[in-house]
Amino acid sequence: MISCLRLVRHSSAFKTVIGNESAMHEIEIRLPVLMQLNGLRTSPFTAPVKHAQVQQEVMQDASEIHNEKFTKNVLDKVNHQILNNQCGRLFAVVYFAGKQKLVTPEDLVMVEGVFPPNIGDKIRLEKVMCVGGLHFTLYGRPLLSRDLVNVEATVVEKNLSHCRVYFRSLRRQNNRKTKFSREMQTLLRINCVDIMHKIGEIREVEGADGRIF
Amino acid sequence: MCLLWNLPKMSSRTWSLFWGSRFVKTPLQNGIGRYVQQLQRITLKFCKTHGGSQGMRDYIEKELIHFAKENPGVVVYVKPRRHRSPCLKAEYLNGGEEYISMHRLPADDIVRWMAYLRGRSGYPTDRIRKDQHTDHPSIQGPWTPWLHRDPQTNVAQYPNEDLSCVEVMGRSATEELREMFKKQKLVSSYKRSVES
Amino acid sequence: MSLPKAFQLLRFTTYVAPRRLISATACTYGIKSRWQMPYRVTLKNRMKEMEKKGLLPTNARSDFIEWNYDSEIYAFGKRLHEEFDESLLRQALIDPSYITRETLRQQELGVEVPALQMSGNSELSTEGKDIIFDYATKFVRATHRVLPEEGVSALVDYLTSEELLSEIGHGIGLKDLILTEEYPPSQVTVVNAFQSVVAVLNRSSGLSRCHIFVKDFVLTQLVGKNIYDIWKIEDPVSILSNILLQNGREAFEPRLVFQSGKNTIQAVYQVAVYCEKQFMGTGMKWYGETVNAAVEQAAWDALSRLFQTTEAVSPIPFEKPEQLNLNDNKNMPIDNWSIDRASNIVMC
Repeated sequence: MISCLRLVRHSSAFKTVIGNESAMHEIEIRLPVLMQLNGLRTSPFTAPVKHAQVQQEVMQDASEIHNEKFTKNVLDKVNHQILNNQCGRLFAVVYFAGKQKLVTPEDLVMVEGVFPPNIGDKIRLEKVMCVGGLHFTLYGRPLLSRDLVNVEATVVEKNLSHCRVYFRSLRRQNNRKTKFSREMQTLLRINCVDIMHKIGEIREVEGADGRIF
Repeated sequence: MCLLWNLPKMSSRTWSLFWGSRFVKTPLQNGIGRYVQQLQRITLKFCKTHGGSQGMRDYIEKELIHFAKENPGVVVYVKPRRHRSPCLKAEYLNGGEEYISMHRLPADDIVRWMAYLRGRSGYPTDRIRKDQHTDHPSIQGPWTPWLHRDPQTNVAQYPNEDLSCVEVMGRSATEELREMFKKQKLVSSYKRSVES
Repeated sequence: MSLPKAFQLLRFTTYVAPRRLISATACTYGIKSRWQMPYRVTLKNRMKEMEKKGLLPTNARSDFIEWNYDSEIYAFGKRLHEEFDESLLRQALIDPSYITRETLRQQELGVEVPALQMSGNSELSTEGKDIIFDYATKFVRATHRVLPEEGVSALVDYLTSEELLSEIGHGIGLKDLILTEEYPPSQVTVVNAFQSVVAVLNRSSGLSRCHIFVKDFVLTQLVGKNIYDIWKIEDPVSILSNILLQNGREAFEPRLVFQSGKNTIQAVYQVAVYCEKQFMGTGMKWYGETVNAAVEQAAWDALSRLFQTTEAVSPIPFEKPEQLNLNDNKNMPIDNWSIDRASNIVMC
């Protein structure tokens, strides 16, 4: 009985060798011993399942070569504009304060609700979803890299909204409720929307811009 | 009972019957180049003896010096007057003024009201119609019904047989995928039936 | 009769000669409601009338008790994030009319030879005016390099106009600070004071700092303005054809691109302008209700494409003025405007 118990302790080794053919052979030899332990084992032994391999076939896309050329051509044109500062006025879709806004330099954007930056602060809007000029638009999936686009804004005003009156009444029920609320409103002036480097290239370091390690 | 916290808001039309509305704006293109704080002077009026001015007196003793240090561009005047309730009067660069009664308010509240007056630009608090202003609404050009249309349709003579017939659209990617999926299903069910 | 006295009299007269008949009981038992309302309404109407006629006296801010000129001067510099020489700044805010008034007042009080230790801002004002004009011209030329010289001068005239400069002066809080005879100060006075402030900044912090100040307060006023609202072009079609003629090109050819609602009241036409089979411009936002109007819109667009003033051109680099190449070279005049030279100029 003692030897049997030892065997049970060793049995944890089975887990690692399942699938190995020599080990399988060993198990088959020892099987009668194991069967004596039927009542002591916590879980019954199950034979390993052999998965059939998935056959994958690589399809050659005929239009791939053409697409590559086309892509390179487009990227070159956009990069030429970026390098020579010929993009003109850029717009960007930025995500902040739970909303998406389409902005371009010199715009005014108002944020309603709690917004910590104070008056005169310069902030950078980092979640840029899309940036574009007259001739091209770059979309992020969902965001563009922090290094690629720089959107800066100044906090111009922090104000409270006009007093909103929330009023409800139930007729003939002597039930009335009036509430007054003034939300915080922050006005931002967009200072710049810039594309910082070429697109379609793999950079050595990415996402480290402006971070302190 | 209805939800008391979900009260209906006064409609903007009702509001506009009594008060005005405006769009977002800043004086003198503020924020381009540099930012100029619009609050130019603030006057704290209070009484030296009355209880209603207690909070204001506390504020002047403890907090006012910090406010003045943080806002060197704001001139702060303190004006004691006998037996009158305390108030704040703010004056802005664009000529706007705001007066708030501070009667029986504690110093903490006055700190908040000062912060509010400090950040404003001096325009009257109207309902704001849009939360955004731009001088360049469309950089790539606005959409028109003529965009991407074949200019040949301009010179076409009607009735025109080609232009009047039903437009035959090619199969969409979704449809193709669906068909592929159906085919696959058929094949696999056939295989299963053969095996069994 | 002084104003408060007139009001006292008015209150008295309401008792004597009321608008309506007041019953004896109302008067004796002191029911105010019968007379108080009409009385106040009368006063209010009279006030409004006086305000309309300009009879109400406007008190200068400095007339009130809570006024400290030293603090105001200190805060002025801090507010604009600039370091001013204080004595020069004080001089810049003194209008010559103030000195004459003070001299007269002292003479009236019996001082025979008034010795006033102050000088006006007229000298500073001319200095500041030149600085603003020079920098604005260079800046506008650098940011609009293919705009004809006529357009540049129109923009500069607008930027240095009395209305705009006085608006800026009011916007930085000069209204209460200027020492002058009249209150509120007139447009010219505010403009002089603003120009003097620019000159003071030049003397105390140097020309480059002064240029940044002018850029931030004066040149930013170009933002959001349509150039052709400021520089009026009467007939874009003839100007476009003149330019093509001077450059030895063929006359432009307007082509009808799209039309809708023909022979209706809502007819709309879009015309594109071509020159030697090259596209030049088309009505982008505004079309025409007649073909001729559409041609004019297309000519507008062609001109703004030639002069690089469309909506899609780069914004003026207010944040990075060092990018600009400021020089004294004039832009091309419109009578001698060359398409080839313009295409060689690279805007950034």
